[in-house]
Formats: sequence, structure tokens, C-alpha cells
Amino acid sequence: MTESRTSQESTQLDPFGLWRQMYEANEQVWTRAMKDVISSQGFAEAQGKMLETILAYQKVMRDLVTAQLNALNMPTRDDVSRVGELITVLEEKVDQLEDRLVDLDNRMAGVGEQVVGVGGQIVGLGDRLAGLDNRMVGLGNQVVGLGDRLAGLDSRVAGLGDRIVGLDSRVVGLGDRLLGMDTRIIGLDERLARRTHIADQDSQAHGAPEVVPARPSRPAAGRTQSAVESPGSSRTEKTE
Amino acid sequence: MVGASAPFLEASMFPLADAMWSSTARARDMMWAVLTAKETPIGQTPKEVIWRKNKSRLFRYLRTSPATHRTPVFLAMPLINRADILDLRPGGSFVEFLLEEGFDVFMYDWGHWGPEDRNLGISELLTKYLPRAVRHASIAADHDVTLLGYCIGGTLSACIAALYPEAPIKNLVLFTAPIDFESAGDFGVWTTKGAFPIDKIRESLPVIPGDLIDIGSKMLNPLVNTTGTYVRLWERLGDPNFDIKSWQAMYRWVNEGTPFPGAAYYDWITRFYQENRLIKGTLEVAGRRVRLSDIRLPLLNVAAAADSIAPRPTTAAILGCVSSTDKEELLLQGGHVGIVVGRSARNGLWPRVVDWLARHD
Repeated sequence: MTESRTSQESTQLDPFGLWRQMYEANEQVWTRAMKDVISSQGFAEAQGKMLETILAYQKVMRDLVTAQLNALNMPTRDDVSRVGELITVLEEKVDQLEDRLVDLDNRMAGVGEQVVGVGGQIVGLGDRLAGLDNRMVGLGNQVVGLGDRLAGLDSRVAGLGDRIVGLDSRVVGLGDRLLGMDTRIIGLDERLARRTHIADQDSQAHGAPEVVPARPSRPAAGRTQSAVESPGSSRTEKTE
Repeated sequence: MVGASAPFLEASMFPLADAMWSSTARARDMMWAVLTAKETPIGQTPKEVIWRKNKSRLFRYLRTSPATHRTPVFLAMPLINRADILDLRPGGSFVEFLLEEGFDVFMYDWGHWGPEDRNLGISELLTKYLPRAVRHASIAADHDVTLLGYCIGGTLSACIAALYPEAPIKNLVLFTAPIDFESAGDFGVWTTKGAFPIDKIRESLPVIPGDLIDIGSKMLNPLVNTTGTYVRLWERLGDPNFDIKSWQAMYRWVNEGTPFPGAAYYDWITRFYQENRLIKGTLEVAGRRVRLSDIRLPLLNVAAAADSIAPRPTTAAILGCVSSTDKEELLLQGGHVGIVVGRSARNGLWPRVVDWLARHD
């Protein structure tokens, strides 16, 4: 009881404690009352008027200071601000240039990607060309093979030609031999005819004559058919 | 009076003196915490700048081991705050968590705009800045990225995904990203056409100071966001487990808003808040119509139920607009910032997001 009273009395003597007590007791009431006031349109208009008055006063003061500075040939705040504004404008231009550089950079990156794509396509075309090249080499090899085969055929044809020539020679040889035989046969024939003539002459001299048909003469060469008849037999020989 | 003071006199004077001394010491600590918050280091995860444009920088976080997931995570941050919210403190960093889970992480920080950026509109951000950053991250990682946008960064990420189906984006993740501004809460009321002097603002301010936007955010809940911050700090200073460095990091982040280029702010208020063009499909960027139905990427939409900056109706619409067949939503209890970096995020949101990312690697 005594402590409580002492505390209360000490608070009464403590200005800060009193201030706090007063605040706590009145805060909510005052806040509500002030809230009602400041939320009203009337307060807004009054505040606006007050602000206008302050601004008008400031303008008068500013004009006064500006006039004095102008009279002293000193730069005013507006003059300094204008310089600052110019710097800001310059900075903006630098920023715009930077923007364009970034855009260009992005576009270059895009172009680079396109170039890489085109490069890939070129590599693809190169691969296809290499493929075609390989196929051409294959075709070339095939042509060479065909050439070799043709050369082989040619050799065989040449061989056949040689063999034909050989055959021809043999045929000629055979012809010559036939001719020789023919000549011999003619010789034999002539000899036979002579002997027949001699025999006839002998028979005429010794008896009745025997009629022997005359043998036709054989051509020297050529493909002829001749019939040689010998006394007592007949033979037919066909040559080509 | 004497009778009333008698019990007081009966009590020892020392407890009272102790209480006063303790209170004074805590007040001193509070002052110290607030005044030195600006020096608290935030965004400490090692990283390198891999691209920069104007004031914006694209960071790649350094890994000590190779990533185990193929798809890197690209973090598109809000325009109105420092980008460090997802890398606030070691142990409380979503970036650190993603790295530990094996992801390659990129973060796009819009930087601190100056008066010379007065004519930088949403169109410029959607054509000259964010898409280029995504492309550079993709080139650096050599893979399409998961585009993860937080708050306005999420809205712009959705626009990018719709505008550039050919962009190197594999998945889309949105953290509390407003899409439909029909019921945009108090911001919607304050920026009503006629009441909000947007033309005068455009004419007078080359860049909208971070403080002005910060005031607007704090006005959403003035008492809690101003006095309440210090009351809660006061209370927690008595807790021996209180991590004052984390509080300071968050305090610093909340109070160090970044300026919003005048033209972009004008576009944001008129085209998004006042005319609600994005959801209507009438938003045009560099002559091209932004159609959310052109989004076909796998989508994870993370929303906060008690979000006063991007109220629930503004974040709920995206699932019905996209053509993605693979779409999922995580609706968490908490506020716009709380679900993403609060103490519960490490055990709540982060593992679930990582699980989704792993399934969509």
C-alpha cells in the first residue's frame, strides 16, 4: 500500500511520467477526433490553402533572392540546375548510345548464331560433296574396270584376229598345197596323156586304135569344181 | 495541506529521489537516442555499384558463397524514402536474409534528386531508368530477375511488367504497392482535384522536399506518429533488451525522406491519385498504353491489412487486373512499413516470400 502510494506520488513529481500518463489517457480519443478532422474534405481544402500560401511566400522569397543574385552578377540556383540538366541530357545520350551498342551486340550475337548455322550447312554440303566425290571415284574405278575388261576383250579379239590370220595362212597354205597337188595332178594327167598317146601310137603301130576321151584342162587357181577321171576309176573332189 | 502531505513525509525520500533520477536518466537517454540517430549506420550489407544513371544507382550485394538459386532478386525501391529500408540493420535486413537464403540480390536506389531533375516525369522513370536498371542486373546475373517493388517502386514495377513483356523479368513481387486509387484513404482525400494545389506546387518547386512528404505521412496519424514515437521510446528505454540501435536506424530512415522530382510528383498526383489512370488502363507512357492485363508473369502481391499509406483497396485490385495464371496474395496484419521490416517480418513475411521465390526459381 505504502509502496504503491509512493510510486503514484513519485510519478506525480516526475514530469516525463506525467507526460506518458497523459498521453496514454488521451491518445485514443485524440486520435479518433483528429482522424475525423483530417479525413474531411474541409481539412483537405484548408490544407491546400495553407500550402498555397506557403508556396506563394516561397516564391516571393525566391524571386527576391534571384533578383539580388542577378544584381550581383552571380549565378542563381536555376542557372546551376540548368548546367546539371545539360549534364543529365548528355548522360542520357550516352545511355542511348549504350542501348544501341547493346542492341547491336545482341544482333551481332544473332548474326553469329546464323553464321554458325550457315557454317553447319556448309559443312553438311561439304559432307555431301565428299560423298559425291567418293561416288565419282567409285564410278571412275568402275570405268577403269570396264576399260580393263574392254582391253581384255580387245586382246581376245586381237587373239581371235591372229588366230583367224593363222587360219587364213593355213587355208592359204592348204590352197597352195591344193594348187601344188593340182599342178602335180595336171602333171600326172599330162604324163598320163602322153603315155596314153604313146600307147595309142604303139597300138596304132601294133593294132586297132582305142578311143580315150580328152581330159579338160584344170584352171590354175580359184574355187572350181573339177572332176578328174582316171582310167579304170572316177573321183570327185570339192575344194573351197 | 499538511495533513495531506503527511504520508509523503512518512515515506523515505530516497525512492522518490531514485525515481526522479531514473526518470531524468531515461530522458537523457531519450535525448541522446534522438539526437544521435542521424549518425546511426544503415544499409551496411556489403555491395557494389554496377550501374548508375543521374543520381540513381544499381547495387549488387556481395556474396561470400555462390548463389544457390538461379533467379536473382531485383529490389525496386520507393521514390520518397531512402532505399535502405530493406537493409536497415544487420539482423534486421531483408537483403541480408535473401543473401543467407542463397539469392543474388540487386537493389535500385533512385538517389537524391536535385532541382536539375525538375522535368523528370514518371514516363522518363519508366522508360529511361527502371527498365535499363533491370536489364543491367539481368546482364550482370546472366539470368532473368524477379522484380520486387516496394510501395511506389511496386507500382512502377507493375507498369514495367505491363509495358515490356519482353523485359528480362521472370517473376513479379509487389510489397504494399498501390494500384487502384479510387479509395486511396486520406492521401486520396487530400490530393483531390481542386483542393490540392498541384499546379502551383509544380510551378514553384523543382523538387518536392522529402520533409513535405514526410509531414504528409505523419499527418495520417498525427498523434501516434509524432508524440507516440517518443512515448514508445520512453517506455522501451526501461527495457534492458531494447535494441536502441535498431530504433535509431528506423528513426533515421523515417525522418530522412528523399526529394521527389517535380514532374514525377505532378504525374503521380494527377495521373494516379486524381485520375486513377493505371487501373482504368488509360495511363500512357511515351505514347504506349499501360495495360495491367498485359502482365502474364507469376505474381505475388503482399498487402498490409492496416496500411494507411496504401490502404487495402488500393493494393487489392492488382490480382483482378493481370492475366497471370500463377498469382498469389499474402495479406498480413500490420502497417505499410511494419510488415516489411518489423520484428515480425523476419518470422512472418520474409520466410514466406523466400518460399515463394524458391518455388518460382
